[in-house]
Amino acid sequence: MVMTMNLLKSDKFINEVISYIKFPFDREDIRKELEDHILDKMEYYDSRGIDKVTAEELTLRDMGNPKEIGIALNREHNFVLGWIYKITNALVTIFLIITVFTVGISLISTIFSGNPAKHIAKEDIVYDIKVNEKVKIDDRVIKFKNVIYEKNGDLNIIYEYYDTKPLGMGWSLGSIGTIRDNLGNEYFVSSGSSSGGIVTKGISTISNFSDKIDTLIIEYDMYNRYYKVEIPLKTGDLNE
Amino acid sequence: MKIDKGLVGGSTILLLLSLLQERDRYGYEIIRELETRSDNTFQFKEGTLYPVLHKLENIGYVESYLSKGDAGRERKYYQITKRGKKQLIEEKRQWETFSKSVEKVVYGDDHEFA
Amino acid sequence: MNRKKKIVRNIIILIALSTLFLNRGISLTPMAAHEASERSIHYGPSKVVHIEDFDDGKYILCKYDKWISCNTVKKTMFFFWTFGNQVTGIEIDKGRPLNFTWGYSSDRNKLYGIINDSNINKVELYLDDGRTLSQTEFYDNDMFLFTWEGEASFDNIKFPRKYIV
Repeated sequence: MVMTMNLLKSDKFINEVISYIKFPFDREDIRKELEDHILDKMEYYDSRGIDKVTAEELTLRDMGNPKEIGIALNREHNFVLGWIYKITNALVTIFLIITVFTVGISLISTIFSGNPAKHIAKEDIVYDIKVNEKVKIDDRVIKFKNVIYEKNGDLNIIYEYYDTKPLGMGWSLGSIGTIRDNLGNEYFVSSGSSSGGIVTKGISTISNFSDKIDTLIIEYDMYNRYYKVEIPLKTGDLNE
Repeated sequence: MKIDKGLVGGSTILLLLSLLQERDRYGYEIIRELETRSDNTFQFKEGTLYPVLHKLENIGYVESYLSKGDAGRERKYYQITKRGKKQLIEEKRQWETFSKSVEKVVYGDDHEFA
Repeated sequence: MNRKKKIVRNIIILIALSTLFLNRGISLTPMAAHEASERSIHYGPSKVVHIEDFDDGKYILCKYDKWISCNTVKKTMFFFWTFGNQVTGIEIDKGRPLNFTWGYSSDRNKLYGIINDSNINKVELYLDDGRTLSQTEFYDNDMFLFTWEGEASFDNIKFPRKYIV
């Protein structure tokens, strides 16, 4: 292979050209391009029967003045532009990593968050009503998923919410609203919400809820934001 | 007759872009082609080609890429861009206008009525 | 693609990625952080009547419909601003001559309120460490804000009235 030849004079020539290139990161590419050219020219002389030593001398003479070439090349490899390029590249890499990381964590949290009602044993459930009602306040969409009534009198409201802005980060939802029944009684809930990620899942539990109630009413009325969700409950015939 | 014109003066871009319009080439190939086609009229310091090629790339008339090509070793090839092709048309037009004007001055009216 | 084009491409990517993150928890300006925090907690958008700087943040005194509030935004990571604390406020009770509320966070106290009785032209606050704060020029003609550092709590708030004869 041509590369293994000892080309001291050529190296010296290229080194001198490179010495005029101020932006360090472009030097190796320029070295390679000039090396390739020199090797090609020497092969040409070699094919004409000229010995290696003379070939190298002739080739370097054909190449021209290294200082002139170096200065002209340096003009085309702007130091400032080169650094801006390198820095923006690094920033893009960092930003991309942060984005992937943030989105990745959100996705993983969401996927692995599971069901907030999983602690409720099947045999304890009196009824499980699929609600599937959706409301929106500002940029938040809240979905009421289901209502589970347990034998011990606990009524659980299971919901989830997400931000409609991409990568939205903000306050978590404070309260889902006032909880009443069709008779006007107001209830206090103990809430638990689990996980964040893109979708936050939550559960609000009312203790000692009477099995005679017809309708559950969730009403949010704060600071000029409003929604009302009415959920008909099963009464009478309980779990079969 | 050998003409040493630094890098053939103002028609450098025209020459280089023409050669690249035909096919992508690497530096040494361009030099060799220039010499061959001009019957060795155009000969100049080979290293001075590279600042010009790099400049053309900075302007946006050509793009470079690495490739093994037919020739075995991996080299830096230059390719003409859309902008480059447009510029080539303009350069050709300018060259034609220029050379016609020169002819008119040198050969005068005789030429016209020939 | 030549170097210049690559730089432009990079800058576009950086701007695009930044917009995904900005105004969601971190913002470029204090006002953007304030607006984002209000919207996220489902309050406002309120009208800003006064802004007061402190060390690494700002108090933003506001009015929204029947409420008054005083949000706090803090500087983070040198260039950015983040969500406020105590975003929501209290409802204005016109029945009382003056409404106020008080908030406290890492050694900083803020007490703010609104004057409902137009005869009041001065509000004085007596702190239990002996300091007295007072305000006679009100923001938007009727709001006041007192801020102080340290553990001192307030003893008393007085609002002498000027009577027109």
